[in-house]
Amino acid sequence: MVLTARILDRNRAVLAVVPEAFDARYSRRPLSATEVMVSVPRDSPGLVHAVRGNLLEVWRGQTLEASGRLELRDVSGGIVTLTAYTEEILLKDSRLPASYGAVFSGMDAADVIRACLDGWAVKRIKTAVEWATWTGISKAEPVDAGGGTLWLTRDGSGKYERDGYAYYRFNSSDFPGFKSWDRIRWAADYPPDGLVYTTIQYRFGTSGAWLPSATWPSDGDPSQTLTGERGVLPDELGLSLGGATNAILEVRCNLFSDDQDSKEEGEVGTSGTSPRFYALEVVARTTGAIAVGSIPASTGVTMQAVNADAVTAFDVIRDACEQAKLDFQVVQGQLVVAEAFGLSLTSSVNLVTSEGRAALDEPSTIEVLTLAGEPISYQSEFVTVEVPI
Amino acid sequence: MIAPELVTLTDGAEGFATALIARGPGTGINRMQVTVRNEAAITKYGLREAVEDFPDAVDAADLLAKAQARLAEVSDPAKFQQLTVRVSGHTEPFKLGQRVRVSDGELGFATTARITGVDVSGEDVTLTLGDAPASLLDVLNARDAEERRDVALGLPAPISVQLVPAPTGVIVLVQLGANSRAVGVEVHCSPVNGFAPDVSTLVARGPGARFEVTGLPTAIRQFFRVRTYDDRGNFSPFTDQISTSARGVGTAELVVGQIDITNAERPDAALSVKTSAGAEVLRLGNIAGKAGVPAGTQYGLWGTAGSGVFIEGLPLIVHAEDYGSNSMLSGLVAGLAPGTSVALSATGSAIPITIPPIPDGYRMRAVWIGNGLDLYLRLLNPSEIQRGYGVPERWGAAIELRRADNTWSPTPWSDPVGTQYTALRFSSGGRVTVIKTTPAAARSPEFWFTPQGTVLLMFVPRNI
Repeated sequence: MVLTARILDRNRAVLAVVPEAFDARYSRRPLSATEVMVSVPRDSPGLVHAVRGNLLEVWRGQTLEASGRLELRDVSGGIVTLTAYTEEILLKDSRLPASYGAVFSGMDAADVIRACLDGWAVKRIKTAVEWATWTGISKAEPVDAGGGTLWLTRDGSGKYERDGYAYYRFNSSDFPGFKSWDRIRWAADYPPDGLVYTTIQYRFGTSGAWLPSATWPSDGDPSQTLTGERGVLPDELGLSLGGATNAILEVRCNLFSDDQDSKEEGEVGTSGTSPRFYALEVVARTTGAIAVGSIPASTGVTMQAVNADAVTAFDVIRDACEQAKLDFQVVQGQLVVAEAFGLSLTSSVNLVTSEGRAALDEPSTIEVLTLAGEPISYQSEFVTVEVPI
Repeated sequence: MIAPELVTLTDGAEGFATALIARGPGTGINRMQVTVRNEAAITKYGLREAVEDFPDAVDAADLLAKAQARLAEVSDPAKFQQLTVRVSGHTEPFKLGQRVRVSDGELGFATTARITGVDVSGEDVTLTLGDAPASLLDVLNARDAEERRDVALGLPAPISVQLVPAPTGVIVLVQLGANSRAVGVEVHCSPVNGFAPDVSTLVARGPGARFEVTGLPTAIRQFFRVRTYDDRGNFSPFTDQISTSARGVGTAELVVGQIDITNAERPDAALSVKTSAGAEVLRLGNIAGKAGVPAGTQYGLWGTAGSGVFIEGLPLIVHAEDYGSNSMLSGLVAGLAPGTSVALSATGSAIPITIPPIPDGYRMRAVWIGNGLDLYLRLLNPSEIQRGYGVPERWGAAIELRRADNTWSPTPWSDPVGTQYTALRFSSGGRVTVIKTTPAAARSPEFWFTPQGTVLLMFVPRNI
């Protein structure tokens, strides 16, 4: 069978077909991106396209034997060896936001896997300079303390104002590859037994009512009406935006204080307490490079303790598959999730060695078998495999 | 004898990224974070994000600078390529960090790289080389095999080429590197700046280090590039182009004066260039105390004023003089109503300018006057002082400079060196529109021209 190597660009357009390929080597392991190697003569036409990031396909006759993204080129004498990693490697290009695991906690593993196929883009306001980029502000001010914070201002008598706010505008065009709004996350003071409060509101566009419009009284004396979302795990879960695709998102940080009179020891001329916003983050989803091939509607396995602090989509999908006892592959840009790949060959293939037979009564000890490059799977029957002596 | 063998040329992948999420000190979302992207690399290689913490970032600007510097490293494919060369016969041990020169005629490249790994086995040493200056793997398929063979294995370009103008010709002096196996030199010449050498530009070829190119027109700059070749017909790369002009017969000739190794033997001239008439036009040596040299500078290069020698590195001198309200120029214009447009017929008084000491070899290049030239309209009748404002529409010849002998300079930037300018005045020819006078009638407004801006004078070395 003639072995050929094809080089494709990232959009899968064929750039070159190298006819004289030889010494193709590859391996497959569950939940992994593995190497695909092939050698070609150094003067092969089209080899100039064999650059990092393009795709490599190894064809045996009319059959695609292996494919992956080009990562390495070795030149030695008159031979160039091209090394790619199977397409699961593409899932390593996408990073999750910080402390994102809580978003996945409690979700079905299949939903988590689907959610990882799009990318993420984050805009965060943290430093005093960034807090000062407000679109509108009232009785609040950035303070260059604690790495950058947003505080209430004081009134003419030195007391902190009862309430104030600042709001910030985010344009979808500022998020490369924007697909939809994901969530707002923030870190702020909200002591359960205190007299200061913070809430978040948002709106899509530059005018209109702020959402959510929920109100409730504070615990202070005199009490005041609090508006907006208090949030649970606001710096991890935050406030979901439901996948909206509006061009503009405005986020409003509300600060409330029922303490205008307390004084620190030695404090003269001022009084009261201000809550603080420490960070505000908007997360958007971006268009991913991998499409859904075949993913179960549900697995019945609920994700627990997901480690997703700036890890890659590959890491999360691997964890989800491990919890659900599934495997995954990316083939020609599509993600396929299943217990096993390919049809059972037990009724048609019997691998017999020349030296003897080895009966496997515990097939699970072998993870994947291949035959001429094709993954094979097995049922409960015994399988005879060829064993090197 | 050293026997090197190129083992592999590898384009690595570990650590390569085209976008970087940089995180400052802190945890979770309560920390500075910036994402930097190398758009050119993303276009070429796709989006590959990496995360890196910078706990020592002091503020957002610092974090951004650190992130950009790091991204520049991790998104440069050349940083990830690696050569492996097996060497035998080298008696001195190789050390990490040393740079070596590597050439490969098959691949068609010659470059230098830093030793990043040494593995010794008996007499053989395997060197792992990194930090090569270019993407060597781009040579793949970039040239055909024939062309690659023409690029010499280990045959460097000449290390030095000098041109000496001669009557209607140029003498080309070529110096090859030590141990070069070149057997000859090709000299190419063209009057075209940036020319690409080909058979039509070949003017000399053969062994030796001195070539005389004759029959060149005088006073026309000629450009030269040189390469070497070996006994197998391989060629080195060409040198960068250098240029000179053939001199005419009997014209003034620059000759190199005495060159001393230390200024102790000749404290005032380590290198002296003179005309054939003996006039010194260029000198290198101890110039401490020479005016115009920054304090603390002990050595430098300077030329005699008017010699036509271009001098690099001499400082420009910019003098700023601020003129306040006590340097008014006045002109009386009567009976103006709002909206009236009048021509300025009066000529302003001269204003003294204090010129700083200017070293020999400098001349004045330019004069600027700032934007603060206000026109005040002062009303003298009745006695209370009110002011309106006018806007100059055109100044015409706005300034003139007067020399110390009280004559006006028509073109001050071409005056001889040492001319002292002592006055600035405003000439007639301007025009103003009165915006406001209160009240309009029966007043005697008077214009006061008040150049409250800063006047800048720039002096440059004479031959710039």
